[in-house]
Amino acid sequence: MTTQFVERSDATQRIQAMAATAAAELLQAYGVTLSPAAEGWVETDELLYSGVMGFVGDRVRGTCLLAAPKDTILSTAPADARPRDWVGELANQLVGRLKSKLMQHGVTIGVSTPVVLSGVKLSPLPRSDVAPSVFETPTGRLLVWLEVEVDPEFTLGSLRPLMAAEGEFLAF
Amino acid sequence: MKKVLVVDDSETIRLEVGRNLGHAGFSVIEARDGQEGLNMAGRHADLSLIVLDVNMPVMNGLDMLDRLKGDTATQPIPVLLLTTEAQDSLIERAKKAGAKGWLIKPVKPEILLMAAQKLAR
Repeated sequence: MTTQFVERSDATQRIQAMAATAAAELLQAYGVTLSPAAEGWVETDELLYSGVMGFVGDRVRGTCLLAAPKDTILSTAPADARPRDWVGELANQLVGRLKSKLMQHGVTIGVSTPVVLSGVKLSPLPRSDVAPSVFETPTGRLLVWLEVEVDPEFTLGSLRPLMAAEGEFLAF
Repeated sequence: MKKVLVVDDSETIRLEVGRNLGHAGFSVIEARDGQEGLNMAGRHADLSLIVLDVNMPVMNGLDMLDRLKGDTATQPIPVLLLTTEAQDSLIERAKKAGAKGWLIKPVKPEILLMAAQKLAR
């Protein structure tokens, strides 16, 4: 039987909030503190780098985009990183964290490999009424934007722990 | 000198892992996906460890792990998964397939080094 997916603002808001938390945790792990921007995304002439990842599961599917100026992307990167590669890896790690958060609520997704684009005056055009998350960093703004569709009966289960967390080593 | 193969589609991750392990005295070679990693493992029977990402184009890390463990030449090489994945079923699959450890990105250099030193043959 094929699942019919729908847009639901309440579900998108919950998952967008999880992604925003995941982004703050991820960048903190690389030494960059995010704070919510006072206003939404503003078009800029700066060159922006964006990493885009798709995800799909039995009950939810969507796309996640992370975008920021080159200096902001590189402020989180190890030495000698190239922005094209690192923004894809950051998007990958962001969606990995989002996946972990969803799994803690009983929702399993698979993820794609990242697609990367760059450009100026990039601006999100959301389908739904859920605004993307915009953060301030010391070097520029960072955008985390999700488009999400869910099973009409979609709910998040109660919180349960996972076998492992970010940064941990499991020896078999 | 112990030789490590780092398999990851991110050049930055390969550089960073290689730099950290290189400073600790490991010799490091790299591959960009599971297929390239499999080919390199076949050509380097003296590998002490493979550090392997999961989510990669062409061939993912778990499929590469299955292929490594199905070949008598590469079966003994210890494998450490280094990935964004924390899905219990994937961790269990890797464990059953014969991996020796699982690290979730981002990882501190000292944790990576401790894991590599523990698992390298």
